Amino acid sequence: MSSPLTSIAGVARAVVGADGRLLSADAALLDLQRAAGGDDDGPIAVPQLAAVVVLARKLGILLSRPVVAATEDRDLRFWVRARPEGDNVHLAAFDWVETPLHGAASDPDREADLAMLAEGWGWQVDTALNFLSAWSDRPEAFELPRAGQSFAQWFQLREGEGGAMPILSAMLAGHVFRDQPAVLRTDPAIRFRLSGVPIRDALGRIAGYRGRAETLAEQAEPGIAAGDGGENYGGLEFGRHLDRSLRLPLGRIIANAETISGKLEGPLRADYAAYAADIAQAGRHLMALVDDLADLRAVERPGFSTAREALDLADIARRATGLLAVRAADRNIRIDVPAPDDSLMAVGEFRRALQVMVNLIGNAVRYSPAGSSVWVRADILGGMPALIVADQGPGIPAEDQARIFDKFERLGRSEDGGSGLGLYISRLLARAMDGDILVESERGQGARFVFTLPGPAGLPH
Amino acid sequence: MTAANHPLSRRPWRGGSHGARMGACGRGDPFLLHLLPEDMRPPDSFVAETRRHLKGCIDHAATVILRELSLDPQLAQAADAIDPASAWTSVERFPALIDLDLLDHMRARATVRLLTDAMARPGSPPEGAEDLAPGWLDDPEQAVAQDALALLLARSRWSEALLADAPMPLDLPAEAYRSLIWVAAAPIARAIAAMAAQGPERALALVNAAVERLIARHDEERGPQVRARRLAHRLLARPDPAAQAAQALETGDMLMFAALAERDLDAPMDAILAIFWENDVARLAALLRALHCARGAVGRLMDCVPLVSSHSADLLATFDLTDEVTAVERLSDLAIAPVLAAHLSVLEGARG
Repeated sequence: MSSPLTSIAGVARAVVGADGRLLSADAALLDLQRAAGGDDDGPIAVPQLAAVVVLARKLGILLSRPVVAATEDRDLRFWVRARPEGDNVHLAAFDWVETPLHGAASDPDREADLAMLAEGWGWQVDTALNFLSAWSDRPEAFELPRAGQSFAQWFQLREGEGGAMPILSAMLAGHVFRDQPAVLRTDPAIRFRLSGVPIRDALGRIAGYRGRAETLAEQAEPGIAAGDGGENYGGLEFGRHLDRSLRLPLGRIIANAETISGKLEGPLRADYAAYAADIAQAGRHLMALVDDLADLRAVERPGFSTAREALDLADIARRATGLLAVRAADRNIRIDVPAPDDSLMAVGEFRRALQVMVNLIGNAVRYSPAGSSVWVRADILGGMPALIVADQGPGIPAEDQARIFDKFERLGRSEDGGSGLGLYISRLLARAMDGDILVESERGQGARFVFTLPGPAGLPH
Repeated sequence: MTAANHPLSRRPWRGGSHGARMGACGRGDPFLLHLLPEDMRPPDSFVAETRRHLKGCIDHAATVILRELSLDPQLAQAADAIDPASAWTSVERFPALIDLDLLDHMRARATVRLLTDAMARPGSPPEGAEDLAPGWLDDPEQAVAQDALALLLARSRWSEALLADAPMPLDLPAEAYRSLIWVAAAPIARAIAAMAAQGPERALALVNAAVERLIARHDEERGPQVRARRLAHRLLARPDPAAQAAQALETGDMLMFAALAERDLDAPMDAILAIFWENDVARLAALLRALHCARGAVGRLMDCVPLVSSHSADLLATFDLTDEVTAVERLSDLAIAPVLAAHLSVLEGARG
C-alpha cells in the first residue's frame, strides 16, 4: 500500500450513488478506496464506510459515526458524516487518526509476517476465544486443541519479561502480538511461545485471531514429575505424550468408525459401512504402529533392562492366545494352546514375555491361511524353557530368516498391516531377559518360532 | 401499575449475558416479572428511569409529529384534534410496539443518568474517593474541552427533564430515533385515518410522507451518545488511550466511560451499558478489569450499581478475583452481532 494516508488532514468528501459506487471523491478518500482494493468508480471498498453509507440510505438520516479502516500497516480511524440526498449519499470524512499496529513502530508488516511465520503449529480462534482449528505439519507430542475448546482453558498464559502479557493488550486493541509465553494447561512442562494476528470481518470488526504456537524445548517445571519407571526419554515423557497425541485420537477414530460400520446408530448403505470398517481397520493398524514405536523408544534406550521374576510360560501362552482369540476367529484360525494344567517355569518379566508372545502368535494368525491352525507349545529346548509357535503359513525362506528380525523389515509385504517392528522389538526384549527368539522355516512349510528364557534355577529364593 | 410490574421492567428468563442484554423473554407478558426470583427483578429506580426516558421521548416525538402534520393543510385539522399524550397511552396498552433495541437504548440512557448522578453525588464519598480525577472539561486542547462541554450539556438535559417534567430531548442515535418516531406515529396515524375526510389510505400516505420528512431532518450528532463517541475518537490520538476509560470512571462520567469502552473493546455502547444492568456481576467485574479501572473507583461504583441492577454479589471482591485473562475471555462475546446473540439466546432458552 502506498502511504499518502499519513498526509490526510482536514475534510475529505465523496458522493456515493444509489448503486453504492463512488461518483466522486477527494484525493484522500480516493487513496483509501484504492488502498482497500477498490476502483475509483467502484463500490465503496472500506467495509465500515460502506456499512455507514448503506445505513444512512436505509434510515434516511444524517449519520455521524466513527470509522476504522484496517489497512495493511495501520488502523486508520476517522469520523464520517453520511448525509442521504435523493438517491445519493454525501460523505464528509475528518478527524483522521492513525494507529500503527501493535509494536509496529519500526515495521508493522514485518511484525505481522513474523507473527505468522513463527515456528510451530497453527491455530485459529473466534471472537469467543474458542478454537476453530489447529494444524501442524509434523507430529506433536500432545494432542492439538479441538474445535470448540477454549483458548484460555487449553493454554495457560505466563508473564513474559518484566511481567508483560502482550496478548492481552493486543487482543483488546485488535493488534498483532508476538512472544507471549504460555504452557499447556494440562501439562505445564510443555511450553509455547505464541504469536497471532487479528482476523477481521467484512465490516472491519475483529472476527478472531490466527497465529502460531512454537513449542519450546521441553523443560520440566519444578514440581513436575519426570514419570516413573525411567520412561522419561530426552526430557520428554514420550509414552505419555504419545498416548495423548496419538492413541487418544486414534481410539476415537476407531470407536466412531466401528460405530458406523456396525450400524449402531441406524441403517447405512453397505458401501458406506464398508468404508467405515476400512477406516477402523486402518485406525487399528496405526494404533499398533504407535504401540510399536513406543516400545521401540523404550527398548532402544541405553540401559534398558527388564525385571527378573518367576514366570509360567504355559500360562503366558494361554493368556496371549486369549488376547488374540477374536482376531483368530475372524479368520477362522484355530490356536492350539497348552492344556490348562500345563506349567513351565522360567525367569523374565511377565508383561514383556506376554508382549513377545502376543507378537509371535499375532504374526502366525496374520500370515496363516484362513481356516488353518496355529500351535503353541511350552517345552524345554536345549536345556532352556521355551515357547514354540508354529503356523501353516507360506514359510520364510532361509535367506530371509536373519532379516526378519531387522527393524522395519517386512520382507516386501506392504499390505499385511504390520509395522516391521514387532519381531525386532520382541527379540530385543527376549535378549534383555537373557533369552532369545529363533526361527525355523522353509518356503511353503510354515514357520516355527522359538522363544527361550532362562530357567528358574538361578532365581534367588 | 407500579414500576415493578410495568411491562418495561420485563426481564429475561435467564440471567446470562446474551439473554439479559437482548431481552430474551421477548415481547409481551407483564406477568413474567412475577415468575422471576426476587434478585432478578430490576430495581424500581431503574424501571422508573427507563420509563421516564421512554415516556419523555414518546411524548416529545408525538408533539413534533403532530406539529409536522399540522403543516400539511390536508392534515392540520385532524392533527390539532389529537392529544400528544395519546401516543404514550397506546404504548402502555400495547407495549409490543416498543422494539427491543429501542428499549435497550432507553435502558442505556437510564443507566447513564442514574450512575453518573450517583457517582458524582456529594455527601459521603467512600474512602479514597475524595480526589476525583479531572475530566476533559479543562483540557488544554480547545477542541477536546469544547467536545467535553458539549457532551456535558447534552447529557445534563436528561436530568433537566426530570426537574421540569419537560419532554425528553430527542437526541437519539439514528436507528433508535427512527424506531421511536414510528412508535409514536402509529397511534397518531391511526387516529388521523379514522377521522380523515379524504379517506384513511390517503391520510396514511400523507402521514407517512410527513413523518419521513421529519426523520430526514434528524441529526444524531447533537445527542450525548454521539458526542461521547466523537470525544472518544478525538482522544485516541492522546498517549495511552487505554487508560482513558478508567479515567472516565474515576470522574463518574459513565457515558464517556461507555464510549471509550466501545472504542477500545470494539463493542456497541448500549451493549457495554447493558453490562451494568444485567445481573451478571462477574461480567461487570470483567469489564472493569479489562479497562484497567482502579479499585477505588470500582468500590464507589459498587455502591451505585444497585440503582440499576439487583444482583447481590460483591462487585469489589469479584473484581479482585478477576484476572485480565479471564476478563478478556468473559467479554469476548461483545463482538458477536446482536442479532446472532439474540438467536443464540432463544436457542439457549429452548434448550434450558
